Order: sequence, then structure tokens, then C-alpha cells
Amino acid sequence: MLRKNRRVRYIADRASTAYWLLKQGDFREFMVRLSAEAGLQFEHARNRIIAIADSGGQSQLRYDSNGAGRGLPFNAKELDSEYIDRRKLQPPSYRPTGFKRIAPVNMQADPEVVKGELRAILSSFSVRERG
Amino acid sequence: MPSMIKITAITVTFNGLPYLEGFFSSLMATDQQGIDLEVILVDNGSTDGTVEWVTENCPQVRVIENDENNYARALNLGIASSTSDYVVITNNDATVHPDWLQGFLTVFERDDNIGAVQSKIFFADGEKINSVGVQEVEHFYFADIGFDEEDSSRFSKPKKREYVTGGSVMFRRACLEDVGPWDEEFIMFMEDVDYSARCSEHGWKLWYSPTSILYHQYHGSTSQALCEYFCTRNRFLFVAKHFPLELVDSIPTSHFFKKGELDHLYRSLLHAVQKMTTCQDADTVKQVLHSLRDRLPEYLGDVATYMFFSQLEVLLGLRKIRVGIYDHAGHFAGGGQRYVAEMADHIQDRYDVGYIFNNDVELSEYKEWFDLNLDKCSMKIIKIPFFEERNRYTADEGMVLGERTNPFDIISKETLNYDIFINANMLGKVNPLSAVSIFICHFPDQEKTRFFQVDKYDHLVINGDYTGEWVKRRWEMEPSTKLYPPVNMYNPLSNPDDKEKIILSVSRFEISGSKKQVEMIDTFAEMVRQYPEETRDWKLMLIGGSTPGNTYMEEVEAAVARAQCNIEYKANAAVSEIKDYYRRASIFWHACGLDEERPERVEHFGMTTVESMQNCCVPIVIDGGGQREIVEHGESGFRFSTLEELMAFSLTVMGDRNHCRRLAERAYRRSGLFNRKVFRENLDRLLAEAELQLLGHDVLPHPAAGEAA
Repeated sequence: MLRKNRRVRYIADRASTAYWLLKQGDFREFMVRLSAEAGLQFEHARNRIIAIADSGGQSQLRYDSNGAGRGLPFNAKELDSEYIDRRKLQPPSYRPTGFKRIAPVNMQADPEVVKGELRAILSSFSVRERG
Repeated sequence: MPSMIKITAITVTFNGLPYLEGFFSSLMATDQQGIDLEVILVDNGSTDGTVEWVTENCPQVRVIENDENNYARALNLGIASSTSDYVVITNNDATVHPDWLQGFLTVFERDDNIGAVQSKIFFADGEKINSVGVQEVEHFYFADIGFDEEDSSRFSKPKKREYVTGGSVMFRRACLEDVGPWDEEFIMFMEDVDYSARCSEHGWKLWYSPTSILYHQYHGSTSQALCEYFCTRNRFLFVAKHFPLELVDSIPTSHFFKKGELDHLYRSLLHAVQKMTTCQDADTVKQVLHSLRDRLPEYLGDVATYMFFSQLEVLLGLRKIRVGIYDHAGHFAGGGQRYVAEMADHIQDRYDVGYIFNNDVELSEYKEWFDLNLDKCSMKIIKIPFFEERNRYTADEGMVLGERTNPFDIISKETLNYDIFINANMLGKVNPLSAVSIFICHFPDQEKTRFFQVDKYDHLVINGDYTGEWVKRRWEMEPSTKLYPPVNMYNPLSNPDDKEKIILSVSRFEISGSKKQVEMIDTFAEMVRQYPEETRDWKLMLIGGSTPGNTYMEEVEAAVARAQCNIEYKANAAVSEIKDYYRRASIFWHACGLDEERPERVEHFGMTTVESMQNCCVPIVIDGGGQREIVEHGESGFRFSTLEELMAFSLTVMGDRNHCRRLAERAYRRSGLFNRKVFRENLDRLLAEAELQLLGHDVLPHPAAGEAA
């Protein structure tokens, strides 16, 4: 049901964008979007076929149950609205405590080593660090 | 005669008064032959009269008051204040058997390397076992041995244990001194498992004694929810301390993960890794960080994992806190920009502050516009393709209609680079991904439309009650902080006794006429016509900003010509000239919002009113919007609803010099609520809260310390 609603919403979104572009007289942009949409749908269909062919129907199950294709190698996670929106959707759990500041920790591990390691880890993400 | 064995019994309580009488009675009835017993009660901030009751009824009990509601800390306080050979730690929602103390000693006699001995703990009814030791039952989850079982011969002999419970356990002083203080980061639960592991690591043996018996009210003094939370939270601390290489594997088996309590999981892991750096070498830390890099995205997702490592840098004190300020209209010199520039100016030394703009702008311009030097702030310009493609210079979120993706995702992505993200100018479609986020609302102009993200922010800051009221109505949200704009137009030369017969208005000449200059001109003309004596020598001065080609200026000019009385107006006057008029004017008029039905057309706050008050003018302002909060009617000025009222209140002030001076003095005092000093104090409070979210550790509420749950 959820998936069906999402598809309906998606089509409605595309239609209203198309309407808005045509209303604005931006026919060129309309054509650019139309061609991008066609490419996207083609890619989507191709991925589904590959997923099913790769593991005899098993991927189909995973694909459907995990929505955006979580865990499927061909469906790289884009940092788009759908992905971003997942954050904070879950209400915070009951927390019996408040917060307090504590004195800075004395690391046994060499702080410079830890710092370098964290820098390296952060730079390994596709979400890049500032400047 | 053999020497007496000194024993200190330490019990910790928090609102445990109902249990204390039974507990202390049974304790005093124990067999104390050869024992010199000292009893210490550590109170964690009880509000049920525990301390008073014990002081009055149990003179032999020494009371120590803990300034935190922290069980492990309470134990440390008790132990540190004792000097005995043995220390017994026990729950007090319990009663003890007469052989309770002797039962411990008989086991200690077996071996000098026995560091701790645990009792046989029954449930209060004495039928079933509560605990005869502690063991690991699933992946780093621990449970009492014998729990809920009938007593049997299996539990009738002393036995060695890997872990013991802190519910009833006696320690040899030498063991406590060797192992050191209890780890206060545990607060409560699992602190005994951690201490057991530490005892073993120091070569001490742990035993169980079947003849030391205690009857326990299970969860008589703590709730199940509290127990569940702390057991899982502290499990990560325990693993980080003793089995760091298993930390990553302990994530999917944690109850937080299984129950989907990912926010608890995130924070507990963060503090566990912090803990690990304090007790493990660099190689181990590196290894664990790498495993987390590989596996955490699977549990928390890429974005949260990135945030995790970024937040860890701050938590470990490896860099300054980064604050990102996004202003899509930062290229204008408006009140909203000034508001946030004042923020940036105040925090730029403390934090690493970065501005995010969509258009080309130099921070040096802020020096010209607002006299604020933002040299220590960095800045970044991020163009939004959606608006670039449409040749829109300023991002207008109203244009985003049926887009599949949110054009402001590019800004959301940027927010990941900051620990605290401040959305400065009400662009409600930016989803904050920083650890802490603040949305500043000067007025909720937009309805809740597609991609509305304001409800994802941690703090919703409003500039006054009027905005707050409309935030509730339009967005059905509760603002978290009220932060009045900073107004600093003080002039030491302004004096209520040295004023001229000038009525001043300072407002932009809006093309729409929303500031109502024409209406004020007509009103003044009418006053002069009707009351020539009372208005003799008075002048109306209108000052405000304007843009080239502003057609409203023609209307103002026509109204002034029509009025044929002492009225002047000036567009884009220099700041020095405005200051001079504030100093000289006796009365200040503000009419924005008159006869308006749309709430956004009413002045949301009214900084110029405060500026006039700081210069001892008497404000006579519209009874609406933010003006209601600034001017107390009849006390520090007047508020009018009609132009007739504006006229009447003005004549009252103009005709009574003393009254005018008294009102001006009160207006001056009132204006202090909205000055830069107050702004900075309130901002500091807001940021202290943000820092707590970012860097804070768990704390249980303690009435005396006033900490919130």
C-alpha cells in the first residue's frame, strides 16, 4: 500500500512539475525534464531485471521489501530528499536522563593518532568535509 | 582477646524512606560479635524526608549527602569516608538475616586473595532466589544466577564467581584500594559488573557466601524502564572498557538496536568510544574506529555515521565546535541579517563559524551595514541550481511546487559539515542534518507546504510573542526559545529633560505603504487643524529607507503638500542624522499594522520603537504585533487602535511636560529588556543548551541541583 501511494505521489509530482513548467512557458526545461525522466525510468527497469536475473528471484523480494533497494549494489544511495527525510522521522525514545557537561577526557590513546584517524575516516565518505 | 574487625556498611538511597526502618532494624539485629560496625547512608537527593528521618531516628547512622543522583558516585563518597578493614555495599529496600555480616567473614577467611564476597539474596518473601552471583546470559547482557529459582542444595556451598552484584557484597579494603574508585559514568546498573571485571583484572577472586542472607524487594527502589535503559547504555561502556574489539559486534545484539531506539544507540556508542580512548591504546582505538566505519552505516545509515565520527571529534576535544549560519538573503542589509550577524559577532571567538550564502556577498560588507566585524567567520557560497536555472537571484521557496526532489537538499548536505546549524532567515525547506539545529523565525510567512522541514529542528527560536503566537497557529508548533532582537541605539546625550517638540517616525518607505506614513501625515495635519494651540511649534519628522523609483514617495510628498503644516520627511538619512533625531524627539510614532487583516502586514517586533525608547522618546504605537510586547500602555508609552486614539494620546503627552518626562524615563528602563547585553545572555543560554545536546552526558534528575530529566 505504502509503495503504491508513493508511486501515485511520484506521478502526481511529475505531472504538477510538468504543468508548472508549461504554464511558465519553459518548454525547453520541460523537454529536458522529460528526457531525464525517461532515462531514469529506463535505468530503474534495467536494475530490476538485473536484480532478478542475478539471484533467481531472491533480489526481487529484497528489492520490494526494502523499498529504495537498500543493500543492492547497483542502487547507490543518493543524498536526495527521500533519503534525507528518513532522519529524525523516528520519534526519540523515552529517555530517563537529562544531560550534563563533563570535564574533557584524558585520552590514553595518542590524541594526534586518533585525530588523524578520524580525519581519514571522515574524508572517506562521499559526503565531503568542508574546504 | 582477638581484635575487633572493622566493617563499614554503606547503603545508597533515593526516596527510599518506606524501606529504611525495616532495613536498619534488621541491620542492628545482626550478629556483631567481634565486629566494630559503622553504618553510612549516602543520600542521592531524596525529597521524601529520608535525611531528616534518619538523622532523627537512627543516630548511629552517618549520613552523607551526594550532590548528584549517581549511584556509583555515592559509593565512592561512602568508601572514601570510611577506614574500616571491610566495606559492605547493600541495597536498602531489603532486610538482612542475623548472620548476614558473619556469613561474609567466614568466606573471606578461606583465601587472602578473595577481594569480594556476595550474599545469598532472596526475594522479600524468602521463598525464591533473587541472586547468588552474576553471569553473562547473552552477548554482554548479564543476569543473576539462580534468579526466580527455589532454594536448593545447589546454592548451599560457597562458590567462586566471575561477577558479583552490588546488591549485597562485602569488599576487602585492600581490594578497593587496589582497584580504585567505581566508574561514575555508569551512574547505576552494570557498575557492579564493571567493578567485578576490574577486580579480576587486578587478580582478586570473587566469591559467593550462602550464609550471608539478604531479603530484597525486587525493583523496590528503581523502575524497570530505568533498569532497561541503563543496562543497555552501560553495556556499551563495559564492552568499550574490557572487550573493545567486540564493540561493533555488540551493536546488533543490543536492545537499543533490536527495539529500534537508534537515538539511544547513537549516543551510547558515542560515549562508549569516548570511554575507550581513555583506557585503550592507539592501535586498539584505530582498529575499533575502522570497524565502526565499515559496519555502522549498516545500522545507522551513511548520514548518521558521518555525523557520528564528526561529533566524536568534538566530544574528544580534537577541534572547535563548528557553527553554520545559512542566510539565503544574506546579500540584503535587513533586520533579519543584523539579528544573525549580531549572533555571529558574539560567538565567532568561541566557535568556528561559517556563513552559507546563495549569492555573492562579502562579509566585509556587514561592517559597513551593521558596524559588525565578522573577520573570524568563514563563508561559502552555494548556488542552488533550481533558482539559477530560473534566473532568480534570491531563493524563493514559494516557487518550489511539484518538484520530486527538494532543491534545498544541496544546503541540507552542507549542514552535515557543522555541529550546530542555524537557519537564519526562515527558509523552511532546509532539512538540518547537523547534530544540533536551530531555526530562527522572525515570522511564519509561509504555510506548511511541500518539503516543510521546520519540525525537524531541535530549537525553534522566535523574536517575540507575536511571532510565537502565529508559529503555533500556522505551523502548530511550540517555539522553544524567545530571543528578542538586539537593539543598541543608546546615546549618552539623550535626556528626557532636553527634548524638542518633535514627533518622530522611523520606518522604511515601503512601496505598499504598509508602514502608514501617509496616514500619520494626515493625522498630524488633523491635529494641527483641530488643536492649533496645543500643537504650536510641534513638528512631525518622518525618516526611513527607500529604493530608487519608489512610487510611495510620491504619495508621501503629496500628503505633506496637502497638510500644509510643519512636516518633514527624509529617505535614506545617515545613521548620525537618525541618532540626532532620536536624541531630540519627544514622541515616537509607529503605525505599521493599522487596519491590516493579514498578520504578516503587522510589525512583527519593532526595533525602531525600542531605539526611540533607548533615547527617552515616548512611544505612541499601534496596538498590535510586537509593539504590544514592547510598550506597556499608559506605563512606558501608549498603544492606539485608531487614528483618533493616536491623536488623543499624543495630545495628552504634548500637553503635560512632566507626564512626558515620566513616560520617557519608564520607556528608557523598559528598553533595557531588548538591548544587546540581554540578547547575548539569552543567546549564551541557548547555545549552552545546544552544547549540552552535542557534548552532554547522561545525568539523573537531582532536585537540589535543579537538573531536568
